[in-house]
Amino acid sequence: MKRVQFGHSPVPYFFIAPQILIIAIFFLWPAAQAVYQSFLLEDAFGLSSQFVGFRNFADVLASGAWLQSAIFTAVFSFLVAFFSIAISLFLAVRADEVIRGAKSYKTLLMWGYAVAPPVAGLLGNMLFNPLMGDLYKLFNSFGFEFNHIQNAGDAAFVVTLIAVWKQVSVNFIFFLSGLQGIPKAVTEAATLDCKSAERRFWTITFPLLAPTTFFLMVINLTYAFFETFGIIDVSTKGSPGGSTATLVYKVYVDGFLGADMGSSSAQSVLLMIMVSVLTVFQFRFIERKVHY
Amino acid sequence: MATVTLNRAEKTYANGFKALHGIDLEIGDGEFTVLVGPSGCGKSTLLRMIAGLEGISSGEIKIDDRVVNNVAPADRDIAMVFQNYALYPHMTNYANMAYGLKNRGYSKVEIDTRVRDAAKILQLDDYLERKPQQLSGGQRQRVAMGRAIVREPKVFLFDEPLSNLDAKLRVDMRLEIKNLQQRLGITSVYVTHDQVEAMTLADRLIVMNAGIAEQIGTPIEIYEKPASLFVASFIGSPSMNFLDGKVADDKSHVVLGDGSKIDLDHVIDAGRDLVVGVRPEHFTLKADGSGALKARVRMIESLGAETLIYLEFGEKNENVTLRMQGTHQFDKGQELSLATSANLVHLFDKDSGKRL
Ligand SMILES: Nc1ncnc2c1ncn2[C@@H]1O[C@H](COP(=O)(O)OP(=O)(O)OP(=O)(O)O)[C@@H](O)[C@H]1O
Ligand SMILES: [Mg+2]
Repeated sequence: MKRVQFGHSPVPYFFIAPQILIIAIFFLWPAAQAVYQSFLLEDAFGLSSQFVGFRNFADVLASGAWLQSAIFTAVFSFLVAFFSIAISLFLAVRADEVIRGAKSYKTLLMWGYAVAPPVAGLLGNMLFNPLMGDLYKLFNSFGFEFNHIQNAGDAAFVVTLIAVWKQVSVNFIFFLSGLQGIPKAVTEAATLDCKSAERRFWTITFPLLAPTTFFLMVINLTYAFFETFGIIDVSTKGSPGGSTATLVYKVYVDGFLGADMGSSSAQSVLLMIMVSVLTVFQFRFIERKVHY
Repeated sequence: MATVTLNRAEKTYANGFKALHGIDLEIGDGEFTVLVGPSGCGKSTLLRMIAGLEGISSGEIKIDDRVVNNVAPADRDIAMVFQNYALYPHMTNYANMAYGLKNRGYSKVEIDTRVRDAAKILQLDDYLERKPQQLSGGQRQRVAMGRAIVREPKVFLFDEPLSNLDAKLRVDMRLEIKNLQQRLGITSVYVTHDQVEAMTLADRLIVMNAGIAEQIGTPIEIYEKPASLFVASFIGSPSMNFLDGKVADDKSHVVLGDGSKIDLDHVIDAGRDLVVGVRPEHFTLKADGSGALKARVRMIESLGAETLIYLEFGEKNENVTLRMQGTHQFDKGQELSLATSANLVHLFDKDSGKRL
């Protein structure tokens, strides 16, 4: 691509300076701190520290707890992204077909967007409270012997459910606008060419929504990685036995509750590397299949 | 091969707006029917009802002898060409044309033969592997036509297929569509608000106005015998001249506003108020001043092959347009003497607007 060069002026730098400052203070500086800390080992009281090279990394990778958390994070993120995309796509397609009362449907479906993650966690807590939680009672009335306090699988189900519920409304908004971006005439032409609505969806609508889906996949994975922190902290706190702690939550638990700054920093550095790899992978291999 | 029949077809939209007030229509096998009318008169609505994209509120639509009111669009055996092409942007042009056939279970070989045949007819051979956005507007519209013809449907429906193209391409494509339709002999309904397209393409023309079919006939019938003031003013460019008049006591002529007389060739009640219509091309200029109408030159437009002269007539300065072959020069304000003949004059009832 050819670039047009204009005479240099300091004005643009002036305008982006605040943004750069924010990035530097709140992102680059802490990131650099984390990298630095990950090579140090502090004594139990945090009074002195010594350089230990990659020992923190070796310890982290060798520990079963970290691996367990990594596996949980991977499965959890995949499930959250998959279900919140699938459910919201289904709802958006249905809401798009509704003619009467379309506005109220859409507004109601979007409301969840306004709920902050910790509040969602709190709502989940109440719904699954063993003493008064409606969902807790409902599941047990079917004889599931549902118990998320002790059963790791049930606890994972609870956080996944809350995380999906919280994200569906965000995805719904994007899918709805994606659907409205498909020209009406194209959909109509497809109605003449193909009788089966399901087939039309998979051959026309879904491929045309691919850019939205791809974008949401990136957003949702990031969400499941990082933003579910609030949900987990309020609902399960990683219990039972760290089985519902994502890598981010574990960084927090080990660093701030366990005061093991070296290990915690090493974990965050690993997290950064993993996220970078994932992002590159997504854009490289999946975006290529997406029609823009 | 098919016929399309509409019996008192009405359309009321969900918001209560009545777009069509009972259309009766019979389209013969292989006939090219053009729907023409001003914006918002219900042309697209009618076409989309035939396609099945809009439901029908009351009445009946038949393709051949089958009532299709409740038949799904894909089962009506019709193909439609849209104004903005409506191609599937994520598919190649080949896949665009093949899509409808694939969904109907045709074999790969059959699909390939049909798509390549259509591509040859439409000169699209070299573009089949490209995607629609890699084509020009004219080429895209050809792909859209290709998508329609590979299906070999009973009926073609066109909704202003040429209005996104530039003037020259529009003329070329117009001829191409006409050729193609005659060659394939497929019954077609074509919506346009371009008069020239309407006049040149139509075997039969339907002039619509505010949800009703004002007149149905061949283009020449409609030009020569417009059924109402509306049709008379809509068909023909520049528009027909309308002058208020009153039938004289001896019923031999009409008296216009300034007292000038236009001869009548059929008998009408004396003293009746009516509107006299004369097309701009049906006035002749009388250099000796013997014409019935005297009018002053207001403006001239020279188009090379012809000249349009805008005149003012009578005390009320009614506008009159005159169309002459070749180039002519007149001074502003110059008085011209115009004549016409009784068989070229159209008479309309002043109140109902109907032809007399
Ligand atoms: N979905 C709808 N709901 C309500 N009214 C509608 C709807 N679609 C069209 N109309 C109205 O119906 C009338 C006819 O519309 P239609 O699209 O058939 O016009 P048209 O003759 O095709 O005009 P144009 O030449 O501008 O395309 C218009 O007055 C329009 O406002
Ligand atoms: Mg229209």
